[in-house]
Amino acid sequence: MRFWGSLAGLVLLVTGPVMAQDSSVLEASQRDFVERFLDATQPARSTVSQREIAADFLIAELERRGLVAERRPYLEPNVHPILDLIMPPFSGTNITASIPATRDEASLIVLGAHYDSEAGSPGADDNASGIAALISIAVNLSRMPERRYSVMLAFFDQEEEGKVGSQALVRQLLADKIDIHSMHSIDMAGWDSDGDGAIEIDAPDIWFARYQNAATRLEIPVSRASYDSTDHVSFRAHGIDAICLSEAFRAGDSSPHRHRSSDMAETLNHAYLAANTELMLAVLRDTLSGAAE
Amino acid sequence: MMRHFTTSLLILTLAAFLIRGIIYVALGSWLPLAWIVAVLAILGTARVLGRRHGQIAVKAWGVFLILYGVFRIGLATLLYFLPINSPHAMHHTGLVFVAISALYLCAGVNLVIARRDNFRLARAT
Repeated sequence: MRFWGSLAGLVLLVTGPVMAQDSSVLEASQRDFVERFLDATQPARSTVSQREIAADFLIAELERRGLVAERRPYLEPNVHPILDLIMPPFSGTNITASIPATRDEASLIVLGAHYDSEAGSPGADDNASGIAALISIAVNLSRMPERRYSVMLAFFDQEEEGKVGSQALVRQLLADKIDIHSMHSIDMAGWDSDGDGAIEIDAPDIWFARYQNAATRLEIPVSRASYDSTDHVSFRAHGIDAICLSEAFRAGDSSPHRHRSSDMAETLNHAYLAANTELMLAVLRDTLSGAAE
Repeated sequence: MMRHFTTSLLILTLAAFLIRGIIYVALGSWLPLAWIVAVLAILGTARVLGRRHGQIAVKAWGVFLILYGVFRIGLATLLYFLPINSPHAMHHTGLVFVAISALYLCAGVNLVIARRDNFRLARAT
């Protein structure tokens, strides 16, 4: 099984845009990625050394796909100011890769997913699934002949500690006076036990309409939800349009393996993950080409 | 000689908190700097009011350091026996954290005891 997944991944790398291929190839390549990512980072991506291994793996994967990856180390205050008197600051490393616009003075679209996991959990659904989806999307976008906006692929550290990595990145980007157009994230997108394919979206009105239109075209059922526990909230706190795609938490169809040692690659529904990927890709392609505006 | 050592300890402990304050201000958190500025202001004011007030203020700082050190050691002990689900907290409350806490504790004890000796000397003369 792993051989066929690897072969599909290799075919994908050689032949071109992800979504130009059959969905089954996308599924296979994402399955292959998740399995290799979990193999490289087992038993978890939680401690400093485990997260360093994960960061090295991701940089190698991005560069293998022709994307120039960058480490962005950061220090952040503790969750509560009182703790700043006692504890050292959070320290971590976000991984980013930039895909430039094909016109000057373009604002930036951030694609984000966290790469850390809860202690003791391999984190296949939470959130290797999101990483796999965004890598596929980024490779596809990098091959568009024209892009109205720059794209930054961002893998956040320390989401499980309280969205620390995403808070650090948005602070760094705003300090650099980067004009952020919008932020799109995926967190836990590989569980669909009832097979209805339903995807939940937390998005501002205008973006929910765009995702809904794309979902109608792709025949994917979507519903609106509100989350405050993942990385898009860090961007929304600064007034930036931020969107999160996720499995059906509010509808009660989310992974029972979350934060457990059983959150393994074989528990994922890869066809469902591919549908999440295709939905976000469709919206971003429309946005980058100008069709959505 | 002992007095120089005590003064050095006072300066070192204040400097440690000042550096912490400056680091956190750069990260957008003002509380550590506000705390040490308040401490410095109290120590400075007490010194201006007179030698005895200054000694009491230093003694109070010593008591704070004792409590600070004990709290940190207690926290590290608690997390050792009852680990929480925060790699950040677990990573930073190990042996180095305990050793630094012990240094704060010893510095606090020294400041309190040294100043008590000074009071006795002052009374005797």
